[in-house]
Order: sequence, then C-alpha cells, then structure tokens
Amino acid sequence: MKDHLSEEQFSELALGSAGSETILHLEKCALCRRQDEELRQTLAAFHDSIHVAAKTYERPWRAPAPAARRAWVGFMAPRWAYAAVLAAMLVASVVLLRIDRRQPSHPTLGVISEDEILMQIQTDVDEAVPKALAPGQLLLAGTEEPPAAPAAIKVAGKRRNIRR
Amino acid sequence: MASMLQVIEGALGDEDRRIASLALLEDFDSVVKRHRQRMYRVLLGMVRDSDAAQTLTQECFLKAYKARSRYRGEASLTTWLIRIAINLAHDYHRNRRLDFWRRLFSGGSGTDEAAVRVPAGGASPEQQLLVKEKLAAVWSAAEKLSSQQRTVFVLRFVEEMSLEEIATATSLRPGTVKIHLFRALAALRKRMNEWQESP
Repeated sequence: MKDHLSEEQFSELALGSAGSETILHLEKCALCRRQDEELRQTLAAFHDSIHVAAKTYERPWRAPAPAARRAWVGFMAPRWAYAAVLAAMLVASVVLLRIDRRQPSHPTLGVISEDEILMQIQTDVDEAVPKALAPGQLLLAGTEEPPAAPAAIKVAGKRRNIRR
Repeated sequence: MASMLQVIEGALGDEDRRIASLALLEDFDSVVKRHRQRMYRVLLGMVRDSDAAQTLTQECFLKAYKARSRYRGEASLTTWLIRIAINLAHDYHRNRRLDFWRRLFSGGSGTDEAAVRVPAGGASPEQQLLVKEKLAAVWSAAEKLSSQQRTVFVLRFVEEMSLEEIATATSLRPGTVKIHLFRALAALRKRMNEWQESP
C-alpha cells in the first residue's frame, strides 16, 4: 500500500472525529495502524502521568484573613505608593533646604539709617538731660529764656561717646 | 464513576446550574475540594513544574475567592476556574526572568521529574522506562508548542474536554481550537518519530 494517512487524518483519529474512509484505511494498513496505536498510547501515558501526579496533591486550602485584618497590608502593598512617599519627602527636603539658604546665618536687626539713629539718640537725650540738669535749671531760674540744650547738639556730633 | 453531584448537575437546566454554581460559591471550601485536583492537573500540564503548579493552584483559588462576588454564573464554575488557571499559567510563562532563574537552578533542562510520573500498574522496569522516555518526548514536544496550543492540548488530552468546552474556556472558536490541536498533534508525532529514530 503506497498511500498512508496524512497528519490531519491521524489527528482526526486522535480526536475521535475521523471519517469512514480513514477508519477503513486503518483496518487495511498495518503501518498506519501501528502509528495510530503509538500515538494513542503516548497520549494515554501523558494523561495518566498527570492524573497520578495530581492524586498526591493535597495542599490544604485556607481562605484569606478577614478584610479588616488585611486592610492596612493591602494599603502598604502598592509599590507606587512607596515611590510617591519617597518623592514627596525628597521634594520637601529640597524645598526646606532652599528656604534655609535664603535666610542669613545670623539674625540681624532691621537696617536703620544714620538719621534715624541720631533722631533716636536726640529723643533719649532730650528725655534724660532735663532731669540730669535739674539742679542747673534751678540755678537759671529767673532768666527769660531757658538755656538751650547744648548737650543734645554735642551728643549729635559725638555719637560714639554717648553710645558708650 | 460520576459522583452524585455530577449526576444532579447533569440533570439541571442552564438556569438551575447557574443558581447552583452561585450557591456553591457560598461554600468555597467545597469548591476547592471539588476542583483542586483538576486545577492542579491543568496547571501542571501547562507549566510542567509540580512546585509551580501547586503555587499557581493556590493562587487560582485565591483569585477566585476574591472575585467570587463578580461571578455571575454565565459560564460554569469549572470553566470560570479554568479560565483563571489559564491566565495564571500564561502570566507564568510570560515571566521570562523567573523562567531564567528556574532553568538556572534546575540545571538548564527545565525538566521536572516530579511531573513525569509513570503509573506502575504492574509494568516491568523496562516497560516503565520506555513509558518514561515516551513521556519525556511528549513533554519535550509540548514545551515547543505555543502557549495557546499547549493549553488546548492539555484541556483535550488531560481533561478530556470537548472542543466546544475548550472553546468556551479559552474564548476561541471551535475551528481555531481544532487547528491548534492538529498542530500540537503533528508536533508530537514529529517528536515521537525523532525519538524512535534516535539510537
């Protein structure tokens, strides 16, 4: 016999959907019959080997823990959450560092112009001198014009002395 | 021999079966008991690694348990579970990095002896060796199949599912399932011929 079954016909036989022509050929051709038998045995061995292996599988099943217990674990799980928190912390630290750099290292008082300092001194002296010169003022009692406050003028010129 | 539950299920109509499946999900332990070995067989056939198959079986039931509120009963419970198992097996194969480490630690062959179990059945040691070699050839051929071809092959020749059932479980058309099976069988026959011709 020259012609034998094609691959498709062997597959049809294995699937149990072969036509009558194929089955007739199989009855006549010993070679095709042997090949078909070989394929069936192999498939049966494959089937049995997995079924035997599965019989030993007895891993116990446990339902997952209740949602309340697992809720925070589930919250911790996503990796992007960790990455987001890390990125936020990094940004915050950079921002804080930049703000810190803008501020001078030593706190200073507000800048006051020289005129303002002099005015302040003048005011202080005006308040202080009359009391200090109270006895002298008594001596000058009777004159029409009270003496000008010479100390104030001098103080304005000699700022350093007054400060001391 | 079919269990009483299977007999009852066979007698039920589609709607009754749907309601029965939904009710069955309430008692998830019984679902696991009933389908555990089947899911393990499907996954073992697809990943050829008993440890991975065990882990994936657990994962399969865990996924089903978490998604049980979304199960509407359109497909049978078995089909629904098989779909989850197939997706898990596909994900497992996609994970190339894991595959690399697995091959590295298993000595590069990827063969899992635990998966190739030969039923003794009173066979002589020579016969057992012959069957074992045949099985190795089947696994070798199965490894070269595409993921879909292997899935279809396992569902047909391990789970003995019909073409229509396989089509429902894999979301393929029955014609496509048949083509995948033809290719898988052709590859298997080719590998068997090579094995027989080898000294």
